[in-house]
Amino acid sequence: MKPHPPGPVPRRQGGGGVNPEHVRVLRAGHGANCSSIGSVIDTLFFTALAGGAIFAAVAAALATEPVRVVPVPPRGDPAPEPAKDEGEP
Amino acid sequence: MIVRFESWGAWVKLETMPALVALDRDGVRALGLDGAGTWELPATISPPVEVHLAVTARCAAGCEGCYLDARPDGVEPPKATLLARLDALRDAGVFTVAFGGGEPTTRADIGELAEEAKSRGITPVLTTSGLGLSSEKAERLRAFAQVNVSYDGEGEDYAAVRGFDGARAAESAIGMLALAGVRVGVNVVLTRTTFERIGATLRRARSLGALEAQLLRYKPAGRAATLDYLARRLTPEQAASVGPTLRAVSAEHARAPGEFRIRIDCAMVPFLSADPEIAAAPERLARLGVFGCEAAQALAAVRVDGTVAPCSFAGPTELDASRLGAGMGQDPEIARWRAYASSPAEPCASCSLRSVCKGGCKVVSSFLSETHGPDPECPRVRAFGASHGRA
Repeated sequence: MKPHPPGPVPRRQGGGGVNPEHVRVLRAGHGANCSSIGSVIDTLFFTALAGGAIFAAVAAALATEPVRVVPVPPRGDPAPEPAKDEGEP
Repeated sequence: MIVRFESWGAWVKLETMPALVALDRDGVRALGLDGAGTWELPATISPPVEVHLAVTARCAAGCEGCYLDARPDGVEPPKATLLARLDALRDAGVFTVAFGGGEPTTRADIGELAEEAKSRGITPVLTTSGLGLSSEKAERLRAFAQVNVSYDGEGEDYAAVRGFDGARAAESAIGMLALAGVRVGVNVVLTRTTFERIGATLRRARSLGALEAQLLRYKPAGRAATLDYLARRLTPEQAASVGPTLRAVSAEHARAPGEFRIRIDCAMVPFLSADPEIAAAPERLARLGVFGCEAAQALAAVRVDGTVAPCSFAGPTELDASRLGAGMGQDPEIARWRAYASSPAEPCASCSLRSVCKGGCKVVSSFLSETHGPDPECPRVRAFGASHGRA
């Protein structure tokens, strides 16, 4: 498949079917601290039902929001560390 | 949604709800997208997803523990300079910019800078002391997705962290921001004094209109990098009780009607190693996007002089913000900060939280042991040291 250019991207027919197992990480909220990076922690103590509702809301947003692809930065240099760790969330 | 392809899939920032999602390649394909241009190339160092941008070094508060040593006569970059830095963040694919300083609300153009960030597809957020904030100023902050007010507790609790009682000003600011329709949260710095009052502090913040609280570890940087740090940091017993404490305050606020979220900062993650239930299920922390030390990885800071730092508490690298996208892989200091997480020493190497925690706070370990080693205040590291004859 041809890579998408930066900018708005039309959805391919049949897209939007993201399953929970495709979601490696879900970081909720904006956070607004300027000194250290923060993470929502209360969801860790939620019931499975409440946690499932959050993932369902995300799946719905993934299925409906318009898509815009950011330009791939000119990263240039290969990662000095093992590539398997590179950028993995 | 905004999609940034990565070697493993893509980061996706949703726009109808505040969330950042990492999808694997199959998930990206399920969206009808393909990252071939990125997926077929060798993996490279990714730019951060969140950048902390110092928009001024000016601040009149004079907090004893200021990590930047901000002062009333601090430098304030011109707007054009900051716009160029926002351009660089956009070009690097950064999703969130947290405006800080100094006191960012001292800038008359702070609302315009937020609009400029949004026009570049970057979500702007801001931290303020609340000192000097007026209703008019609060109105100018409406372009921010969220504003956090530094609030360590009422009266003496606030003073115990910052050296003066600014609690009333902070409380007033929370109310003014909420009234102006700004989504407002609080930053609560945890010292051995304020830790004991977390419950009351969060209840008070919520009653004033805050929708979120971020709990921050006190760190030995800037004016806090003195021996006094040792008397203010959490006690070992408090550090070991962070997990149960978070569980209790989360349960309390989940029961109450309305929204109130609880966050922890990256430096708090090592303390979770003492909680058997959390330590036994690290994949839950990872899946919920809990970040430990992401300095020079998912996080970077742009200092007021335009140099990039691994995080706001770290010293500058030689990398200028204008080269954030391409330069992360070239700077030796960036590489040094990334190195520990790749191959940590024991007891980090065998810790179940290793992939999330990433070795704990390098600012703390650098201050206490002059190296990027295991976080000396982590309960697991303390126990390991005790069992190997170290205090």
